[in-house]
Amino acid sequence: MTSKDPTRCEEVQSSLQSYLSGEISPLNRSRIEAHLENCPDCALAARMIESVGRAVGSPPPLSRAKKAQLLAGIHLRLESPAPRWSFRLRVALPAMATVAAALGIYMIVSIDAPDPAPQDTLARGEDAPPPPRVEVQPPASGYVEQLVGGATVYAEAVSDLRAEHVDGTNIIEFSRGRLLVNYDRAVAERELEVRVPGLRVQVVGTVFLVDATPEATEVAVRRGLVRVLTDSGEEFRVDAGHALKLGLSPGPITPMAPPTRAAFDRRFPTGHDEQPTISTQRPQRQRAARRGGKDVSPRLKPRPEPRRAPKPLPTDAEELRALLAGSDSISGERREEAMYRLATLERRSGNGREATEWLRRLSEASNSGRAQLAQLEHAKLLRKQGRLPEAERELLALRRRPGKSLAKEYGHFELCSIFVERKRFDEALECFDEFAVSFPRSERVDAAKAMTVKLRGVLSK
Amino acid sequence: MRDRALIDRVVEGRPGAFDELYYAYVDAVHRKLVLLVGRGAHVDDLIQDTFLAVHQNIGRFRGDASFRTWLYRIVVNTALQHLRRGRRRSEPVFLGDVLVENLVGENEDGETFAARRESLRVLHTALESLKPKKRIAYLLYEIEGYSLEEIAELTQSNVTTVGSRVRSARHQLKTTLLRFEKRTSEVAR
Repeated sequence: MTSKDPTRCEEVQSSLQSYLSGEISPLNRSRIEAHLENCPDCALAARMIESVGRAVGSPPPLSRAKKAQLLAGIHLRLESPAPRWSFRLRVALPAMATVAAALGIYMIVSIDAPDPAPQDTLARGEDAPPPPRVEVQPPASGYVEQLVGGATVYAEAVSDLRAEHVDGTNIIEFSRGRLLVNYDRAVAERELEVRVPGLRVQVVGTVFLVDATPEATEVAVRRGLVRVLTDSGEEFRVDAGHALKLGLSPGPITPMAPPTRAAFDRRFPTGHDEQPTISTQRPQRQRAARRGGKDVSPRLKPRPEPRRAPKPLPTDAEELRALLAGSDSISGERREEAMYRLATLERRSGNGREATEWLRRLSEASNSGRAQLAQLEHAKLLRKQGRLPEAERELLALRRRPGKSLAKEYGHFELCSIFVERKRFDEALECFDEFAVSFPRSERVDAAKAMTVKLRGVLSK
Repeated sequence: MRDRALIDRVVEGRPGAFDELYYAYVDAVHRKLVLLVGRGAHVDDLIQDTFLAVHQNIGRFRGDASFRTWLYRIVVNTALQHLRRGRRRSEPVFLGDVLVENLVGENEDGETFAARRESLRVLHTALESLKPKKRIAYLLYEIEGYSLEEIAELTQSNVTTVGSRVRSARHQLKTTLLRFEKRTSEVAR
């Protein structure tokens, strides 16, 4: 993009990209800065580009292994275009079914990841809630839990379970039993493959479910692409929105709807009565060591009882006050939450003094995020009440707190504004300068920089 | 020209030529796709789709434009198809990502982290609400610094249309951002 003489909004806006990336002459830079100071529209455009650019960011580079893996996938797709699985399945069905029947495989594998948000959710704009995440509830009891790479594995009566790292892939292998794997591709460091005798299930896409019982095996894909390989060399690909079922005898293959949460829960009920015996012996660990492979077999330990959700806090000011008055009835984080809620209720009812008092108490309670936020709000209330010296004292205390937080960022800016309001321009200049250095990614950094320029002008006069 | 020779070898089906081309451009393709559709597992699929399209169509590359431009046209088409399918909403770009971690201070707790996430989510939602072609034109113009002519070539549209898409996207994002800033300042007071 070429940089013209940026004297007008159109020209300035067309030069913003170069300006923000620093690829602009000093003369043009100062002209743009001068324009931005006086033009809220262009300043907003600059802030917008900067925010979007920062948010989009540069992705971390692909690792060599990842590149190789993607290339292998491309070659695979080039060499064997997606088969017409319904046809091929009929051919392979007896073989797979025989294997399943002979071994009595009973397996559930679920690969899960954030679910697509419904179209209308995001169309509603900024008030829309974040896209729902599909949570796979762990079984209530009778299962053991362990992390393998980015996957959470729940095993029930699984014999000979083994997990290994091989060429950048986590391989979970077992011969008999039931296994639930909750794999979040967004956090998983490695690829995942689940192997049972005669069958391999590879993650190509992200969300799929395999349900193998002695009677039938079912593969249903919610999103992405799944590759199912048999030892006899058959390969099936099932893509999003499709499912296939393998029975004991060849039959018609019916495309099915992808599994819903309810369907999943039906297949994997929680709170059942079965209490399987879990083997904690891991001979496979020694076998893997002998082979020289890295053994990451899950350490099997009983899953702890799920924690009971705490009782929700009251929403009435009187009840909250009573709760906070009892010294032992509530403590720690919940106490802070109750104080914050009470302060909010008081403020809404117009009891500014009460609200200020609760915010002050909360801000002195700890250095938690909520305490910092309370201190900021306390200072703002004081400022609103015209108690500027007290507000300043609170904000200075907030600034001295360790670490960085949004409350500190906002508080710092508020403090600078108070300096301006009290006409202590030299301190305000220093304050805004420091703000720009301490919070270079803040949404208010441009405003802070603009203020330093203005204040320098004022002070030079 | 190095690219030309390599492309000829790919067209002839010489062993290893396609792999060489892939390794030469995979990083650029990855970067561009992440810019256009956001991060997530779907990017892997789109990289593969892009290079499959390259493999299938490279015989038609005449060399009128540079290979990079031709490749980026495929990238843009792949991204457009993806966005049109509505799959872009599968994994929000800014949530639970490295980026958010980078933006959060060392000692920030859950609440502050949540506040950051909220502001990023709003920005993300605003970008997501743009129509695919508008979004692509805006990102290429404002973030990548492409000229309207270059974007017109990549998206096979005319310059005036691209210009109006950029302006419209800019207006839409500006409105969202202003609304959010106003709401934030109201909450803060």
